[in-house]
Amino acid sequence: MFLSEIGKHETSLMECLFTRLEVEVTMTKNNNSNFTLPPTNNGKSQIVFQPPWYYGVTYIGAHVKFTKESAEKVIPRFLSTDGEGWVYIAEFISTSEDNWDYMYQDPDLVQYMEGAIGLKVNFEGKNYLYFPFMWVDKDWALVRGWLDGHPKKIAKIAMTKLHHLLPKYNKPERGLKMGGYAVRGGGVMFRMQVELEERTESLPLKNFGPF
Amino acid sequence: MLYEDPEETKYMEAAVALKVKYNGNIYTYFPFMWVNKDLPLIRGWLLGYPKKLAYISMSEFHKLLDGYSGPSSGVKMGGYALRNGKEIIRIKITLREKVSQSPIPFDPIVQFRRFPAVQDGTDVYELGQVISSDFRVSEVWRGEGEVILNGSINEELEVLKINKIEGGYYFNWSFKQLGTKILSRISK
Repeated sequence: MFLSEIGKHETSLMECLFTRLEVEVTMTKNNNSNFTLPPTNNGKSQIVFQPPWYYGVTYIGAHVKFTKESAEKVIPRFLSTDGEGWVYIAEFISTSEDNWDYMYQDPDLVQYMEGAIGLKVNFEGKNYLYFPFMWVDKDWALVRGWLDGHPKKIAKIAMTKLHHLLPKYNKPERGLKMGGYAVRGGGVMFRMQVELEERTESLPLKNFGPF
Repeated sequence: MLYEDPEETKYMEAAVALKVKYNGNIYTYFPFMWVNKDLPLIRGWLLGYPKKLAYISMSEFHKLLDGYSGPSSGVKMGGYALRNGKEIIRIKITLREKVSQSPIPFDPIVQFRRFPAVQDGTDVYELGQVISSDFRVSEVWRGEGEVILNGSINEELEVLKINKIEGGYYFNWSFKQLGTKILSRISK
């Protein structure tokens, strides 16, 4: 694992954020029954169904400045980075347009956890968000991610959750502490804790470029 | 890796294989396969195996356990695979006799390498023959078998109807996997 290589971040520059995002990724239609394996007559067994895919996500994230030298060790040579990064643990609700019935038929097929380390990179003069490391806890999220190029592996991932009827952990507010971790095999990939300070109208990711 | 991280070198697998015919030749084809680690899942997809993740368990022998020190007539063994907590396969076998060979593979293995384009990029859909070598098989034991296949929302095991169970088997084998030879590129 190369995580130790980029663990040397400047904590004074860490900015912690907690937010909810809703994202729709629109892609071209494909043949429904054999978009992915296994191909069967009606395609109901395939691990990933055709796009578009919908995502509802809750994040615990941290805006991090890694040292440039350490970040350069985990990206291909044709990309460059100044070390600005984004680390998160997130809870996803996600489905293909074809599978909204999964929401009630099998929640395991629409819910997953994700942990990732992202870097702001530059390619041919433009900034992009690139993830050298990403973990999920479901197979369909892993394979779908590989189709998009995310280097997903399987991990046990946990994060603090809020519930509106709990006395303290019912909503994001100043002073609230939240945490999460990703564990793979016999090791902890990363662990993070954030303490919320204020509501903000924008995410640092807006400066990273497309992903 | 065998001593640095044993987790990366061990995995469990469950599968359903079919004897299929392609261009007049007999092959083994796996329409369903599950493993319990990400490494064999991705490696399997590179070869065309439609692997998903499952919790998989099976009976094991230990040389110092009375009754379960090794295969012998009358020993019962079992296993199952659970995907997302739900049972998809359950197997039970009762060993009866040592035989000379296992019934699988039914000649070479063929699988589909399928990596769809998403909006842009290369769309890969090809039938490949898995190239293996150095097969070694230890004792093969045959007996009675019971198989339960449970369909679920995302596993069409219920479409497979079992006419007859020819036998249950226990054996060890080892082999080297070299890659895939493409037999056909498939147009959708």
